[in-house]
Amino acid sequence: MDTNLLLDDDIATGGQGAPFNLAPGAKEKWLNAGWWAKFLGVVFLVFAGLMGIALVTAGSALMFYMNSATKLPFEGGLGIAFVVAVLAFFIYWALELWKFGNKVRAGIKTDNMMIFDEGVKHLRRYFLILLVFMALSILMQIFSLFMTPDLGNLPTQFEPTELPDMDGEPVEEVPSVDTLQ
Amino acid sequence: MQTNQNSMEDNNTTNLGDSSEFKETPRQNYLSESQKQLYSTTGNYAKYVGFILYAITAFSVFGIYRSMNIMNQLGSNIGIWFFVMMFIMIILYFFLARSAHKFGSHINNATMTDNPDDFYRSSSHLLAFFQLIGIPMMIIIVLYGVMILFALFFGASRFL
Repeated sequence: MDTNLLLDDDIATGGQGAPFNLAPGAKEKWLNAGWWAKFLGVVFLVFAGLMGIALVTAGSALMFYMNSATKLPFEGGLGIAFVVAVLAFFIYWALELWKFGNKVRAGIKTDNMMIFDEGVKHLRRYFLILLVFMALSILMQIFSLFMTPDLGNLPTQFEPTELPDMDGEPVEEVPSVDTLQ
Repeated sequence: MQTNQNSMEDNNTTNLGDSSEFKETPRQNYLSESQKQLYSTTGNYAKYVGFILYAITAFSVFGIYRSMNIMNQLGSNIGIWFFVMMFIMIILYFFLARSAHKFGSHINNATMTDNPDDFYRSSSHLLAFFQLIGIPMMIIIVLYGVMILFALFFGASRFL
């Protein structure tokens, strides 16, 4: 009997009793990957919770640090909206990871290819969100590079300004940096 | 004769990721079209993640080279630990990039060539990808937990 035809038919008809065509070696790997994904999902959700608490209790300090670290104009409502959006995105990402782990493990344990594929869909979304995250962070880094002051134009040598002659006496010349060295 | 034919047919059935049964005659269409589409797009995203991580690794190497001058000028002992941490991070980033990229390319190959061996390999790389994030995370959590326990038992002032 051709298991592939059965699998295809089963996907088309809703996946009841689909033969699970994952080999034992691969099953073990996917099960372990699912466990780690669940663990990471829970850890990231806890991080998101801690970030949420930090935002509520020390929002203004957080804005200050973000301003100084990235040199981006995170001020007032815009900054809070940005942080809340990132937090929501992060929670969604962690949930996708957790769901991937759960469904892949459930699919393997119940020998149901449909549930397994549902898990892979969550993995696809996880990678997509990771891509967006990384692209955004790279863009932010590039943007903050342009926002920082241009160090190349800063004066490299101390040039003393001439002091006004108050009593008609000549002002003692301030030694330049070159002569000190 | 009939029994022989049945056993031959049975031998021809292949499981996803079964490398042992699949060396000689690749079985066609062991994945449905919807599965192929799902796995190939997942693989593509994983490959792009791998590419970006490779780029981040390269930039980190460049960054460590630039910061080396600053650390030499400062002559600080902290610099050594900074370099150790950066070195570990770069190695971690490199292997993360490698596993994401390999997972993507193997699962893509599995959908294109109908080769379950590729599916098996992709699962190994996916496991490596999650372990590379998960194990350092677990170590940090355990260390942090131990630190909190020490602080609780011996007083936080010892750590300040």
